[in-house]
Amino acid sequence: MSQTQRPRTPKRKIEAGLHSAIIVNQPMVRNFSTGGGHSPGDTLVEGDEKIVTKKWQGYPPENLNVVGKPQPPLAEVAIPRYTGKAEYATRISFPNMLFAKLLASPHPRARVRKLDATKAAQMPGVAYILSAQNAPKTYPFPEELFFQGSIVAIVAAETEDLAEDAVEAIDVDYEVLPFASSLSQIMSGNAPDLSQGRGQRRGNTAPSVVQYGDVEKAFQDADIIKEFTYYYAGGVVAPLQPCGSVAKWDGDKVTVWGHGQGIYPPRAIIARGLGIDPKNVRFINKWNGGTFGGVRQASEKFYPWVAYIAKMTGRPVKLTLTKDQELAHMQVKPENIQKFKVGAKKDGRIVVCQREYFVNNGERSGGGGGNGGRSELYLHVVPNWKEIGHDYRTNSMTIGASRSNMQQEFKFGWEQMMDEMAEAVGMDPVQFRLLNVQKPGTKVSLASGGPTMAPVPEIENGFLTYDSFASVEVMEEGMKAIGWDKRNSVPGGNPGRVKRGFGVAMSQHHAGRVGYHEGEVGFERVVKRGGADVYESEIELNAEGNIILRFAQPDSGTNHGTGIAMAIAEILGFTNLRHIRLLWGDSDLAPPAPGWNSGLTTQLQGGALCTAADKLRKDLLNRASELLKVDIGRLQIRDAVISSKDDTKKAVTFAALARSNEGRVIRQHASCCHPGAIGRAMNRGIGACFVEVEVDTWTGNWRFIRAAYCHDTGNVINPLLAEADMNGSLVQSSQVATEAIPWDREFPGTRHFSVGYLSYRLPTIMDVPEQTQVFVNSLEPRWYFGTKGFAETAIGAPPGAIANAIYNACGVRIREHPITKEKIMAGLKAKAGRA
Amino acid sequence: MMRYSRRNFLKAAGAGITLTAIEGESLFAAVAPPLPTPITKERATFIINGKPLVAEYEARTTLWEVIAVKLGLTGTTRSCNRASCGACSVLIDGTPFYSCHTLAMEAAGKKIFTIEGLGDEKNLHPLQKVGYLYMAADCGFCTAGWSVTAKALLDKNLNPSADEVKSALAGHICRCAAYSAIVRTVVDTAAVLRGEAEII
Repeated sequence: MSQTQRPRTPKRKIEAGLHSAIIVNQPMVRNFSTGGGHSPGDTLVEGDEKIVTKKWQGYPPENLNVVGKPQPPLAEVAIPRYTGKAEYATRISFPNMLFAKLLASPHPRARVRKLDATKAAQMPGVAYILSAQNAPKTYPFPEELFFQGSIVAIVAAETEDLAEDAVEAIDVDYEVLPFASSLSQIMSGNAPDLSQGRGQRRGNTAPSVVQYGDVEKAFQDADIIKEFTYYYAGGVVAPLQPCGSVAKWDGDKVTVWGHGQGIYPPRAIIARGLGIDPKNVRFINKWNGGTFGGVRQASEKFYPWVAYIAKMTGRPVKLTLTKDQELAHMQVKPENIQKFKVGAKKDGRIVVCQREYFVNNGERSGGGGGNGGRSELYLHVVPNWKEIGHDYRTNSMTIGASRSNMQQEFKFGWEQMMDEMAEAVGMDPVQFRLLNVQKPGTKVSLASGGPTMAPVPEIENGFLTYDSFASVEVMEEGMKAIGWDKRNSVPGGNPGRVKRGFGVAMSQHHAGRVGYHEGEVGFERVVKRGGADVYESEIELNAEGNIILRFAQPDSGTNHGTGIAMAIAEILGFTNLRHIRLLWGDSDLAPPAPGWNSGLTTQLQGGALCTAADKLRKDLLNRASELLKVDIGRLQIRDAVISSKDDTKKAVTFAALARSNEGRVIRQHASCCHPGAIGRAMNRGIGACFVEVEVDTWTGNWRFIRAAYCHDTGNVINPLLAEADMNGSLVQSSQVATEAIPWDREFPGTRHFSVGYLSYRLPTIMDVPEQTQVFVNSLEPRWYFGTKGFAETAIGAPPGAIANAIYNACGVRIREHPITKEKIMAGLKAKAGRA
Repeated sequence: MMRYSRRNFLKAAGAGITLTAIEGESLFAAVAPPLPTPITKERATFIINGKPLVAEYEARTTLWEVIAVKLGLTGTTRSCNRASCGACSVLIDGTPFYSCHTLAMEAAGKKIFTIEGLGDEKNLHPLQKVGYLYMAADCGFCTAGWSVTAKALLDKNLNPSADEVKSALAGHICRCAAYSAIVRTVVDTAAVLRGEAEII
């Protein structure tokens, strides 16, 4: 049969769309009302303060053309990733460029007594050696090498190999000092004093106590009191792009290509470090090969030195850290111990919780360590609370954001505690959580939030009231998606060698840590108060009829530019993104803004752009009204044409409006601000992660089979990107359960000893479970299109959920991180011994 | 303290040591040659994406450095530099290699295929088009590596199962974990190449 005679079967169509995610839409008009309630119009009156906020910011999420439709990211951002042209700092190259390499301290704690670089300086190809002796006074090297991997010298040479040769030829005489790197070392009686005079105990900052309610009385009243201890060993994000930067001078101006989550903050560091005017620093960072919150430090502390070497040599310089050096400078998830004492009533209500924590804070003591943001208190009703914190300064890496901040490392314990309490009161873990979870409309008090709540307008009454808070829905939808009814009623109760089990855990992060946009009363007040982070943005219409968005934030695979562009397209009446262009990640092209973090980018940077687009829309309507002699109320916008609703022949294009502006672009500017801490009653989403695992009771091997992660997302702007992001989050976060930072063999508890990624195993394509993401469209009335940020909120639960599922499968509770087959096997043997 | 690194590995290999010891730290340390290391000049032609390109390098220089630094084809990214993540993969005579741990001299004169050979923005390969539609890249740093390995798979097998794709790409770490999208991308690209599917 010839080709032409063959009956043609229609070709399968390949197009962008959701793979397995489910969207659950909630009703738009909510059946509850809080803090003054929703008035029928487009305004929302909040609290006693009567802060007037436009409901949906004037754009109700109905009849949308762009927002909510799955589509691939903007080609200008995403296609270069597939063609090898995305400009990561590592891809920046110049013909006469020098390559810099780092000499890092091999000791957990030391001082440099003497450094001799004479021999190294004579090595072939060496152009410059920077050490404490010749570092700029404005940006000196550290005096005390406080952790393994601390910086001792930087060598710039013609090739990387020649630079490394010279690094090895530098003679350093170290004065090795007593050190304590792990919790067990710093908590031992003979630990050195690392407190710099601040601590009451050796190596310790002062223990902190936070308390509300009457804890002692509550314990007396409780029917069931249980105590639990959990240990988390530490984790690191390990993005693929090696940390580094390139610096190049042109006269008295320097351009630095970096790797991080902001443009203006590193630019300020460079200017300060070199003692020059920030105007003379251009910072470019458009694409990143992953940052996950942890990268910033490992890149930015080197920028001034790289720029300095470039200046001294008169040549462009590129620094690339090796993976083990990079991990020493990257922020990590801290090692910690959590001790709980929990009291509950017979009916399952938690009445009191006491948490004592011990956190290995690393080099930088005290910075956002143990208290975990107390996000658990925004998620669960704990009427009486006492927290005793011990934050230890140690000779270890700096802690901080590391694919979310203070979530997995504390929720590994908290979510197991919830499961163990459920068992103690004889309840199903889901029912126990539903009983104890915060409900919509619940007032979260300033006292219960403690110091993480800042005095911003909405909490001047002493509490926050959440409207959009789908805590019940995420549990119910998650149960459906995983098939919770198939769970073992008795842990380990399934017969046979290979046993399956189900687990659940919840996540929530920095509840409501969002801001205000220009035009809101809160914005003016927060900015006036001072100290607010202000995200600026610009939007332009040019003579070609294209809309240009200018904003600072680098893209780490986050694709926030696309999410923002979709909201802008909707505001400006487009049905697609063909006319939207981005200018981002370059301090010469984008207006000032702080860096991005905490899943706030689409809301804060995006909110600034939405506000600017709103201004532009009004501006264009005014111009069209004048030109067409039609009342503004009778005009409509559709795909770059403004026309009269009554006579569509009366029309003008965006391009024509721009051209009639005397050849100048039509530009609008707007800002959003971040109040600096929790302050606005806008929830950033809740996650409920349901997992199914399989445990081989003969070997202890276990397998992650299936996960359904249900998220309180608000209106999802681009479900395709959301699904991709959440799938990645789930796999990354599940790895947190099973891997601990592998410590240096010579100095246990110090630097990550990296043999590639073999000693800290990252998930591969073989490790991915079947995933279903469920998005509960809970509609946040206070923000554009009912959206809320949920990227980071929806990542904390998997380690706890997996531990709970393993317990359900085989009856072994792993309270000591990481989960390994050896620990499962030991638990099974102990259980068999007891039986 | 001893670091495992390509440099030390190559030094040990260059000194003619058979690497049989598992606890190899002291072994590596013992054979590090005295400094300064003599620089050896090499020169060879590499057939990269069909074009003969001449590079000068040292005997110890890796293929990655020749491709991405000396010849300026920066599409191939290097991540771990320890032959464990696959980001730097290129094809040598059709077979995927980690270019961070392949010496340039091993590939001299051979046919090398990099991401630049797959397709550019004006002429995207179906693998790139389908990947774009399916979100097979978040940050994109691993994309150049797995893309050329996937190309090698599709050159040999135009109808791979999901399991065959997984096994072919098991040596590639995607830290953003776009794995499920990557599997679908390769399976469906094969359908496009077979003429059974079309990209909208």
